[in-house]
Amino acid sequence: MRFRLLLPVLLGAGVISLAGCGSEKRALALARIEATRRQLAALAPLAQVGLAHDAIRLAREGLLDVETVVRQTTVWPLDDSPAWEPQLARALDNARIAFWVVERQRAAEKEEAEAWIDSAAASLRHARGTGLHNVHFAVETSLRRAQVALDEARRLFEGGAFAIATDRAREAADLAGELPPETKALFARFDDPANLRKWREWARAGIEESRRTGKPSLVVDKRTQMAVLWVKGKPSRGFEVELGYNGLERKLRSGDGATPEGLYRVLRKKGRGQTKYYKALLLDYPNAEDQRRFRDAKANGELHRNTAIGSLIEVHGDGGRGTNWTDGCVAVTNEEMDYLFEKLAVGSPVVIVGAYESIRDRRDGEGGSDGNK
Amino acid sequence: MRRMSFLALAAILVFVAACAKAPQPAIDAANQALEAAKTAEAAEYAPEAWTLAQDAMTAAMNEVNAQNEKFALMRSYDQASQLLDKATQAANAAATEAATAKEAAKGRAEAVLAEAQAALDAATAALKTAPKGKGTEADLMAMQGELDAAAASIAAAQKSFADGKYLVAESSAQSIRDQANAIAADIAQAKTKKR
Repeated sequence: MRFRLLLPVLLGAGVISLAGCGSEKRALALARIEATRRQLAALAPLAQVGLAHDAIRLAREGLLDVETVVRQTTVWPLDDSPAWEPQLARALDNARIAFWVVERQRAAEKEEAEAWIDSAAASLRHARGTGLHNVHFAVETSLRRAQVALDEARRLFEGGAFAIATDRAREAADLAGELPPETKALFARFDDPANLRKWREWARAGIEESRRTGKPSLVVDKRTQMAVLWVKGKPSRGFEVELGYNGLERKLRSGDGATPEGLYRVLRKKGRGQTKYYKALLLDYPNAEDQRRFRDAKANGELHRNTAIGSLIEVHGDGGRGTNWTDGCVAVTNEEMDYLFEKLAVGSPVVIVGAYESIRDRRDGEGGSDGNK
Repeated sequence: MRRMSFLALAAILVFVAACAKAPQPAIDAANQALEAAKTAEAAEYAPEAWTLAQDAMTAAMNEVNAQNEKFALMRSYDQASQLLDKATQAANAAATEAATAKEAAKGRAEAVLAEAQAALDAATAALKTAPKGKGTEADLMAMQGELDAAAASIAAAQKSFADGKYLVAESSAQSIRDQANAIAADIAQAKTKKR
């Protein structure tokens, strides 16, 4: 009798217990879905474009769909594998794939950003190594913009915005690697093999004379704004020089502000009180080559017939101003002028060349573009 | 007697059907909270919380729709109501987080804008005393052009700030500040270059 009363109670308890197991399975499934959804939400801001963005979106949709199924599916007692299991497994797999895609995409974006930042930094170093920014404002402007873009790229990289960092780094690389259009024509002649050959021959002539005679020669490189005093065929001292306000241009006429290129000699020495520029070494510009070029320019209409060729090209003091400011002369500091005034005599060679190395070779760290080293 | 039983059963059925209605007030409350989060620009300033709120709302409405498709006597909106409450809470959290993040972005943008203006003023003053001479006019004009462009950019950044676009304003101001500082540094270098 008692057993018959207990039996329904025991059966009822069993049913409730099994039903509880079904609820527990549902709760576990929902908990897994919720946790995975949170992980995907955390990654969503990092993958707003591309394959990663799509992968996250699909994974989220899959989880939402299976959540609905989990909530609606009746879980029968003793049912070890609720109906939602296969779909839940697929949704969690999709989420794992999304995590992997995001990780790979982020790693690729980071690698690309790093590579472009390094490339831009190298381009900027090379560009500054040419020294062109010291002689032309347009180059300096470009390099300054490149540096600002590079700094911003680094800042974005540190903040994890790799894709935008790449864009800014590429902009920096472009600015650093390319001469502004308005300066390309100006600097084209410094890469011209024929010009470089001619200038190197002049420089070697001056150096060879110093070796042969034992007397100093001064060789001026306009592009790098450097001069070297050669004694007995060996470099004795270097100087930073300041040129004409259009110093890099080819000198054609009086008043053009260009510093001439050629094989010159000291014509006269002007001491204190004999020049307004501390001391000066007057050069024999225009020489025969200058005269010939001037005549040809007038003949072909490049210069007006009343144009003057110019004169009074000197190496003089009062330099050290940090800019190209003379009317075409080569300026050094007064201390350096004292040194040159003592070393050079009337008749000493002063060779002024456009460049001793091409711009490209200087950037790449190689030798001369005409094959000579 | 039979008619009384039939009427009682019909009344019970109507009562049960009437109770199994979608929780419209809860749906409306969740939608309003989501809209408030959107207005607070949660997508921009609290993207993770915004994503969670969107998903919570979708899950809630999926449950509502699933119940709607069932036979009236089989419907139960208890779970749907719970999910809608969760969605409302998630949306409120997204709105709160967005407001906090936006306020922080506003503070940062304000500070960087001030730095950019100061840098621009300093570079402009420095340009007035930059070394002058033959051949420097083009350099100085180029720098003045850059500073003029920077001044226009600051005005645009200030407008973005006024429009509440703090992240845009902050990013623009940083670039302007760096550019103005670079110009001022170049001028200083030109002034102090010694041989």
